[in-house]
Amino acid sequence: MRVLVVEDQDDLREVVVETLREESFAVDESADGEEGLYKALNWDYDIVVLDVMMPVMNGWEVLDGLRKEKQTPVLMLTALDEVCDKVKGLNHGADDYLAKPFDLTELVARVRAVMRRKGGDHCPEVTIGKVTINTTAKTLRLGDKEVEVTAREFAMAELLIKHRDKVVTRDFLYDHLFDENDESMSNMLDVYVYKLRQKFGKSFIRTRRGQGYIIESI
Amino acid sequence: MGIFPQSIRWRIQLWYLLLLVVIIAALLMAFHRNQREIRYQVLDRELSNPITRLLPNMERRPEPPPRGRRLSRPNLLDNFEDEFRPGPEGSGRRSPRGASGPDALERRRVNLEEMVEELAENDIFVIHWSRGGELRFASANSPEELKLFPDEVFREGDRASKKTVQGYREIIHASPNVGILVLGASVKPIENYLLRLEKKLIGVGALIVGGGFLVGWFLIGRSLKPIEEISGAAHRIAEGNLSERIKISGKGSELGRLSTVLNKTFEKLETSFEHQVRFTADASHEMRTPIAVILSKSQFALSKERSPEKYQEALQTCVDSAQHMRTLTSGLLELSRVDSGEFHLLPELGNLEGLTCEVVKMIEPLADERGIKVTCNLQSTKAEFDSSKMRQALLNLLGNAVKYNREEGEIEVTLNRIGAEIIWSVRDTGQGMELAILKHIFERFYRVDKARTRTGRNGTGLGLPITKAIVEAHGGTISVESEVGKGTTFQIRLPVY
Repeated sequence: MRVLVVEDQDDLREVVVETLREESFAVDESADGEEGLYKALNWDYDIVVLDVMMPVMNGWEVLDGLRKEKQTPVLMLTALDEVCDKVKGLNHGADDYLAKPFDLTELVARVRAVMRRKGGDHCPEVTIGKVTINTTAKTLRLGDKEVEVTAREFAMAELLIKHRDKVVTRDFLYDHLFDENDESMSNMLDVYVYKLRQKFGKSFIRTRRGQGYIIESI
Repeated sequence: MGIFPQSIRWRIQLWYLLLLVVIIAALLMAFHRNQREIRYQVLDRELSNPITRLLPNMERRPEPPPRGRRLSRPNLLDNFEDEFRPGPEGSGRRSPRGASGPDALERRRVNLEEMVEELAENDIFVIHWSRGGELRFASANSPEELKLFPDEVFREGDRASKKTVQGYREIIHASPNVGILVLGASVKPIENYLLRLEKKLIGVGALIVGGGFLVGWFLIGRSLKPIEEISGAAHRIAEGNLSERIKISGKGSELGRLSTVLNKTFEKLETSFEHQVRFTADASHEMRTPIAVILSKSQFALSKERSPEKYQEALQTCVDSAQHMRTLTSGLLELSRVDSGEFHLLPELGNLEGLTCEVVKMIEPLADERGIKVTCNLQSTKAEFDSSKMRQALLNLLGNAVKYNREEGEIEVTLNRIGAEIIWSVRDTGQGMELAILKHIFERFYRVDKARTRTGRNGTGLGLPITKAIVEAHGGTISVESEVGKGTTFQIRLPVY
């Protein structure tokens, strides 16, 4: 899952980015609205965490600019917590709203909730065959047994399950699993697929030659 | 206020109504009186005209009064209907010159009877008494109660008087020759007419007063409408809609002028209120950011076991944010003192040169770090000033000069006394600022460095507004000149007392 954090306050952005990375998101960052809008328009993020009060271009302008072209989920982050501001934010097309100062755990929970809603799943737990994924607890189970996976492996399984029954291209996987600073080569994808198959069985992820990968729910 | 209503409209209306009623009543009463007089005059004329016609037929020679009277009386009493006859008969008999025989007497008598009948047809009655007070004649329609001899002093010579007795108007003609002749008529028709007139007049008066009331209500309402507007607008403003204004109708009128003044007041209120709201919102926003940093950084650090370096970094960030908050709160406190008028100076006589040197020494380590050279050109200047506040102002200016200067740049501080002014200038060799930015730099929370060059927690956006407040509290002014790419010069001018 790839996230964009647009926040002008350096310390705050830093800590939000680090937290989200620890939650196994691929995170990009922007320190002002203009750059943030550029990135949001040019990459398909799973969610944009957007600050309102920013120099050059404020959060509302970024949101309006983004909504003209894309429906990327947006979580607004702001120092104003008046009801009318929240309403304004939601009316502008934001998917959720969080007032500063916020709890990091709440931020992460809301980011997950917004993404789940966008993916059509309302429950954090999804079962495909014998494999059960819990996006909140970040666990993968085979039958009743919990299987240990790395953050990247989990992210890949989550992404494929979110788009289950659809072919996911290698480019899409690459874009959503690695952030802009990641130097990983695309053949790393093969490594994660191989490891997931080792842990959950060969048929868990199927390869569509020349197209990509797919997890089938039946 | 007892029975008087509080409403201005009602008060004016009531006074107006009272005045209207008095005027209308006076006019109608005068009209009524006038009508009455005219009616009575007409009646009097109707009554006195026959007298002049009757008298020649009745006059007697005054020479033998007792005999004539005695002679006439038995005749008079013969027949009541013919009572009148003996009068003229007697007088006719006794008139030695005018006697033209019984024919002439008869003519006069017939004449008289006709006249009396004619008068009776007009509801006029005739009563005649002799000088002595005996009733000689009373026409059939004369009221009984008036047949008594009037208690009047009988004087020599002809005399006529008018009076109204018991609902009858009478003209009394008294003369030594004829005795007392009374012509009278009932005043009932006149009184009835006047009664009807009265009713009509009351009706008309009521109509006029009613109409006047409505017109007055409308006119007063119209002239008081601006007051309603004013109170309505003030009410809405009191309820919190500060952008409300009074609609001004007729700028020249007193209320129009009042509305203009009030609108200006409201505008000032709104501006200062907006200012206050914006200041509070800005202040809370500025406070929220460091709080958010501290909260999330510490939560992040505590969320799992981390390396000592990570803890150290988190703690350092928290300390920095806390320090930023400290600067911010003291700045806010200072500015709120300025706003509430509690910004008091403790002026002492001192040398500004010494103070400047002191501040330059404080700033030098920071300047050295960035290789900035500070040059001073100071003139010894004695003045009265609050040294701690002035130090703060200078420190702000010099701090900015270091912060926004280029590496290896220069700062030039000069202090001169020119005439009655102390001029102080701080020139740096930084990036300079555009005019659009210069306009705002003394505004609270305005930060030039918010775009990218910002080092996060350094600027509060309160330094220059505080500096300006300090300089202005000393009666001075602060100005800025800047050229993009070359640098900025701040100048403080203080008056010497």
